[in-house]
Parts: sequence; C-alpha cells; structure tokens
Amino acid sequence: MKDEQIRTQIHQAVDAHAEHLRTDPFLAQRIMNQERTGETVVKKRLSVGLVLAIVLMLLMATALAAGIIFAKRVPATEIADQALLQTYGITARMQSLFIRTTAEGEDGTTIVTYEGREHLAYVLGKYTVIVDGQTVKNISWSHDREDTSGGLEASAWGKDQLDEILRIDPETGKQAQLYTFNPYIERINREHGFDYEAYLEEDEDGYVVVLEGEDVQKAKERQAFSAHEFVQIAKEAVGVRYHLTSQQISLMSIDVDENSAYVLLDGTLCYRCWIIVGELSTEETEQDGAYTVYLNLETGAVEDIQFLSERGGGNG
Amino acid sequence: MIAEQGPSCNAEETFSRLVAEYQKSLLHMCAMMLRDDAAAEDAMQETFVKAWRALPQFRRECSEKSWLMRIAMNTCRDMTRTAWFRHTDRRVTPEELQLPAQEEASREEDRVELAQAIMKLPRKYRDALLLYYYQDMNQEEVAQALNISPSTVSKRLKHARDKLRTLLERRREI
Repeated sequence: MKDEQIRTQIHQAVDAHAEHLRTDPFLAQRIMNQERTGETVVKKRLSVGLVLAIVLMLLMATALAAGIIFAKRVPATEIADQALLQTYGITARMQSLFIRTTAEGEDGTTIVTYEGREHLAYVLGKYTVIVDGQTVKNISWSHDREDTSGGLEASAWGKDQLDEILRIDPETGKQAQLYTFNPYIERINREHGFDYEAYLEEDEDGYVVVLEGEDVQKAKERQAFSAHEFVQIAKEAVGVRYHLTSQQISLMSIDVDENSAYVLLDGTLCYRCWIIVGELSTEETEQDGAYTVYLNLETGAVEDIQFLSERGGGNG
Repeated sequence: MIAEQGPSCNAEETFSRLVAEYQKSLLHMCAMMLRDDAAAEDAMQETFVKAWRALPQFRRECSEKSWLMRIAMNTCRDMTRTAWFRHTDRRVTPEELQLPAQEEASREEDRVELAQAIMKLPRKYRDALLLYYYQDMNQEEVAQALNISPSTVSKRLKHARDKLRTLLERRREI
C-alpha cells in the first residue's frame, strides 16, 4: 500500500475515533486572558481521596440499580485495593499472590489485610489497610522498614520483585512458573527463621471454612435463594465490583456443581461460587481470571468477592 | 511570524492562529495516545498553555509544527506517568468504539479496527506514525518533534506499518 493510501486511512480512522470530541473556539482567548490574570485554565484532575469517594458512590449507585446488596467489606476492599496500588504499586494481578481478608475494627473501621500466599508469607509480608467509611485511615506493610533493593536477593519483596516474578516473556507470551523462584524464597525463609509448616498450623482458624456433611444439610435449610439465583447475583456483583464490560459479563462461565460450596466466611453462613472471566473470550484482559463470590445464604447479600488473576499467581 | 520578545500583539495573533490551526488535530491525536477523552482534552489545553508561555523563547530552530508537537508529545508522556493515569482503566473495548450507521458499517468497521490497532502500537511507533501520517509531517519534522534522528524515524515508521499489518491481520483471523 502506498504512503498516501495509508495516510488517508489513518486520517479517517483517527478522526472517526475522536469525532465526538469538541474543540473550543475561544480556547486561545481563554488561555491568554487567564494566563494574564494568573487563573488556571486547564481542568485539574480529581484528588485521589475524591476519586476513592466517587468509586464508592458509583459502586453503591450501580449496585442499587442492579438490585444487589453489598456487605460493607466489599466497597472497603475496593478502596483498599486502590490504596494498595497507589501507595505500594501492588496491582490486581500481583494481588493473586496474596490472601486478602477483612475484619471489622473496634471503631467501626474495616481492616483489610493482604498476606503473602503460602510459602510467600514471609517474603511478601502483610499489607494492612484500615478503611474508615470512604477514606483510608492508615496503610502499612510489615516490611516497611526493610531494604527491598537487590532484586530477588532482597530479604523482602515489594513491587519490583513482583514485577520480575510476573513478567511476561515477550517471546513466549508467558510468565515464569512460580516454583522457579523457590530457591530464593526458601533461602530467605531460612535466613529469617520462617517455618512454613509451623505457619500452616497457626493459620488453622481460617477466614473461610468449608462446611461438610450434616453442616451442609443444616445450611441448606436456611438457604433463601436457589443456586441459579445465587449465580445470577454473583455474576452481576462481579460485573459491578470489577467494572467489567457487558461483553465480559455475557461471556462469564461457571460450573455450579463443581465449584459451589457452603462456607462460613468470617463466621457468616455463605454460598460460595466461582465465576470465570476470559475463558470464552478471544482477547486477553487484565480482568481475566477466577472470581470467588461469597453470598449470604439467608439474605443474598454479597459478603465478599476475591479475584485470582489468570495472569497472576495461578501459575503453580 | 513568531514573536521573539515576550507575548505581544504579534504573539497573540500567532498563538490564536496556532490554536485555530492545530486544536482539532492535536485533540484527536491526544485521544489516540491517551485513550481517554477527558485526559485528551486536558493534554490539548495543557499543550497550548505551555506553548503560550514558551512562545517568547521559540527561536525557529525547528518548524513551528515540530515545536508544538514536541510539547504535545511531552505533555501526553507526562500525563501517562501520573498516578491518576496509571490507575485508571483505559483499555479500549469494541463497545467504546461504536459502530454507527448500517450503510457505512463495513467501512466504519475497518476504521474502528485501524484506530484500535494504532492505539495498541507500542508508544514509540505510535508517536512516529501519528506525526507522520496523521499530522502530515515529513520525516525531518517528525525527527525534530521526537528528538531523534531522521533515520530512526524511518525505521520506526517501517516497524509501525509492519506491526499495524500484523495486528490487523490477527484481528481478521479472529
């Protein structure tokens, strides 16, 4: 194709893409006037605090429109996720290497913690975000005072090391298997006296307890919605909380029998289902992965949603 | 003519002409670079504010257009580095690139595909491609705007065309 043909096509494509944008016939005059008077002409971006408040309001407004009830911890985790990204650079994809839990603080705050998964518990440490209403009251990392320089040799791994672990090889389009980093992790655990087996035993009282046998029968007696209804609520809730497109929502997949369970989530009786995003899509997105949705068995309220990125920690 | 002493009547005329001449194409180009309408409007305005402030220092060492485009490129680049920009989701979905009018649908679909492919190009290729093909600048001017050599511009344009072709072919296969 000749240069002129390419030029014409690119002009048409760019102009068509942006044709809805309006120019300002008085822009030059406004700039000159306002520069003389010292006023600001360029719209300023919203502050992060305001953005977080808007995120919360949008979530609640959309949820109301969809008829979904979110427990307090759901918007709190969205605010905490944003704060974690802004303060420490931890993305949703990186979060797949952490276990996120929430707890209610004595002063009515929501305490959201992200702790390194399994044998990564020490090296990744624990992030704690305290959310008070629509604002972040405090955010900290258990390794805040540690030196994270030195790549994978550092004794605490932050954003840089997570970037390295999750890096996609441009040639293969894949990321390295997590176990290939085990020699580093084991050495760090050893040097800091972190015993994974002992840690597992300490962690017995889990945030999520899967019910079995008679407990399941008892739970079913209190179930106010059918499995199908729970799945529908879960799909809508994931769409609202993670801002998915209508196409992504329409392509969600789920296997009710395989993946559903009756659980206690931090003491609340819930129906758990897994929603898969991206499996049926032709294009990969950052939102592809498994969403675990916990629905209050008696009220149908969304108690929590956890996201495991397909391109995150699910690589063995 | 560009004013050489602080903003003056002459500078006002020059500036008004620059805004009138380049506002639309700058806005469209920023939209392609930032994939966000509000950010594109901000970047376009910010570019002109910077241009107005820098006008007295402009010495015509490069063309007026190269000078303005360099400011725009730097402005867009700075915006993409802000925390706000980094954690706003601006992936482009087919829904956002609406397909209008049925009779035009096929041609329009091609334009949408091409716009999407351009936005997916790595930044260095996209910058060169937009300046050369969309802003109708020659390779020398593009080189001045991007502060690189003309031979690098030539290489980047070739890569950009190759990558565009690959992206479009892949989409069609799907």
